[in-house]
Amino acid sequence: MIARCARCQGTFTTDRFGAQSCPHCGTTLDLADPGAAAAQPPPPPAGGQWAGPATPPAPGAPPAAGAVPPLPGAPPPHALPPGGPPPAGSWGPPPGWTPPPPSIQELPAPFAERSTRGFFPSLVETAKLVATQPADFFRRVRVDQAGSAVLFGVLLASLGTIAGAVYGWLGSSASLSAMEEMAAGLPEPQARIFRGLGGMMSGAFTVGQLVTAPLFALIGIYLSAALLHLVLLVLRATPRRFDATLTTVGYAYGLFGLGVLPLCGGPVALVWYLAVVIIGLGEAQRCGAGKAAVAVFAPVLLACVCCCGAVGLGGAGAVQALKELADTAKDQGTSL
Amino acid sequence: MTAGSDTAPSGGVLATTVLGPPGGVARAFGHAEVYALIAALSFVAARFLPVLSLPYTCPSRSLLGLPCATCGMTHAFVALAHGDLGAALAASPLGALLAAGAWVYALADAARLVAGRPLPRLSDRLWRAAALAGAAALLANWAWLLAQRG
Repeated sequence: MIARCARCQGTFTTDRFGAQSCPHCGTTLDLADPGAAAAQPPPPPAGGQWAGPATPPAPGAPPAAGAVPPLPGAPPPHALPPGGPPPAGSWGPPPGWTPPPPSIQELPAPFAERSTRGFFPSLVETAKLVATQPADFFRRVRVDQAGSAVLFGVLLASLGTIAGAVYGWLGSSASLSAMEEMAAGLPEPQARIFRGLGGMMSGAFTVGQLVTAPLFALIGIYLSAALLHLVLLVLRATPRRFDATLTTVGYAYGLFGLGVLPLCGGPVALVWYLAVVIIGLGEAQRCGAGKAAVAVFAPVLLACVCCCGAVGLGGAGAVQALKELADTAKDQGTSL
Repeated sequence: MTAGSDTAPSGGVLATTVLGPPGGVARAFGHAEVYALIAALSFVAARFLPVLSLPYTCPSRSLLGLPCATCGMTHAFVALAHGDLGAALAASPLGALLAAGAWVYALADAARLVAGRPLPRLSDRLWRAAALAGAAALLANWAWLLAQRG
């Protein structure tokens, strides 16, 4: 059978129930017999659990199934039970005993409960939580339901892409003529870029975007999650494994649904996505926003290093190209 | 699926979850299979779609006359998908390596699923080494492209 460790969220294979060690983090776990499942308390009812901040259980109280380790930087546990040390000879914790730190109760995202809450209400509620309360949402969301997160991201990001493609196609006639004019006065390599951009506004390209939007959203989510997780691994900031990263990226990707807003939708969605994914990774992976920010921007920094190198090496070439451009404009009697 | 709980060494109580049936094997369509599918799709696209006809030019190459770190990867994928290893390596050595790795991974994952074998688990240390090697390979590939075409 396959089991998941509640501390590190790692999965492992075992052939027996009972006490055993997690092969990833070494924590002692007890795998209960399915026959005893009937004795488990019923799951909390769905709905209304996301209102208000996360409140950890009382110190010392056993967390419920699915509880996760506390955040780094959480308030330190009480060194002594309330009321001071117990008198000698009485019942109570032994000297020096420190109760375990309070843990956070994980909750399924509203969208993961869409069968009971309704599809559109759960979609809207999840989008609101992701966009307006990312820290609280990603601190408490269950990370073993990554499928719902991916579906959420694919649906909304596809919607944004489709809306953007339609807006681009609607305004393509004016943009194309402007681009043709600009390309006519440019040297061939630069003109090729403009013609390429113009080609991306054709009807066939728009139809292609509409059809492939969900596929590209799915690929984008999985590749982004893989890249972020690799950088987090290098930073040793993945206590909750890949599912936490994928859940964060999936829900954050839903913000690309803001592409339905004409003109500003795309840039706003990108900035909002970056902010939410940094906050979300910090909370979901329990690694803090600093490491999450490094993970998000490291690939960009690597690209910048490459580009800066290219700019440095190609500086002379660029100056020459600009000079040619100016000469061409002078010959044609136009000004740049 | 069931859950149980026990006392951890630190004194805390932890729950753990059974994700599969007793005696079962990991046959479900999981993340590994999604990545294998993406890899397989990249082969289909490179082999059967006119991806080189897309109206796209690398901005770095057009504006500065220098290739970027990922220049030539599409050409490498397409050339390798058509069995031209030399052209793939000439277009981008890292691209050729990436394409070969991705497609071998897709085949291996399909074979693993058919055989009903569990997904081998790599240690975090190995993943870290792979990530650092990947970044170094990207820089090395870029240096090679600059030397060849810059």
